[in-house]
Amino acid sequence: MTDEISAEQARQALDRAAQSASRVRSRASSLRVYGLVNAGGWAASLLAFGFIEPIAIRLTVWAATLILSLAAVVTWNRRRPAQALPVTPPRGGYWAYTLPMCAVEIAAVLLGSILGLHGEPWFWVPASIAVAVPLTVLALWVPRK
Amino acid sequence: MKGSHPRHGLNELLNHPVRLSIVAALADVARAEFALVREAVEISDAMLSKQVALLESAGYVGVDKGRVGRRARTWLHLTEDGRAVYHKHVAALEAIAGRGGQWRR
Repeated sequence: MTDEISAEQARQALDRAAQSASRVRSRASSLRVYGLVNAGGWAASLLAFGFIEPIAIRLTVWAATLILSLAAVVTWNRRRPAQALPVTPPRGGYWAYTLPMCAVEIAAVLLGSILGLHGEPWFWVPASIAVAVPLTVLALWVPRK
Repeated sequence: MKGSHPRHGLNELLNHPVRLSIVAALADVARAEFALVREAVEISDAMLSKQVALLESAGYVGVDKGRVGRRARTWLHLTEDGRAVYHKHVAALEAIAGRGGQWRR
C-alpha cells in the first residue's frame, strides 16, 4: 500500500486526520478558560471586599469568591474529556501572570483597609481591573483551538 | 531500501486509516478519554480497543486508567515515539498530496 498511495489518497488521509484532531482538540481543557474565570473571580472578590458591609460578610464573600473561582476551574478541568497540551506562556511562564494578580489583590486589600477606602469606587473599580489584567493577558495569549 | 521519495517517510502502521485517525486525534492534546476518541474517529469500542492495542504494542500510544468522581475512565495519550512517527507520516502525506502543512494549525 505504501508504494501505491496516490496524491488523492494522501489528501483524503490528511483530511480525515485533521477532522479527528479537530474534534478532540475542541473538547480539551484550556488555559484560556482558567485565565478568564480566575481573572473574573478575583476581580469580583476585590469588588466584594471594597463594597460589602459588615466586615464579617465582606470577608466571607471575598474568600468564598476566590475559592469558588479556583474550584470551578479545577472541577471543569477534571471533567473535560481531553487535556490540552501544556503550554509555556511567554515572559516568565505561568507564574509570571498569576503572582502579579495575587500581589495586586493583596496590595489593594491592605491599602484599601489601612487608608479606610471602603465604598470608594474610584479606588476599588480600577484595582479590580488591575487584578484581572495579568490572567486576561495570559488568556488572550493562549492559541485558539 | 530507503530512497528520497516521500512515501519512504510513511509508517506502515499509520497507513491504516483508522489508526491514523486515532493517532491524529491524540496529537494535539496531552491525553483524551477513550470515549471521546471513539466518537471523534466514529468507530466501535471493540474496534478502538483492537487498534489501540496495536498502537500500544508498537509504543506509539499509552493507556491509563483512573477515576473521576465515581466514574472509571480510560485515558489515551501519544508517546514521544508516537508523536515523532505521526509528524513524519503527516509530512510524507503532505509531500505526496502536494500540500505544505495547510491543514495543520
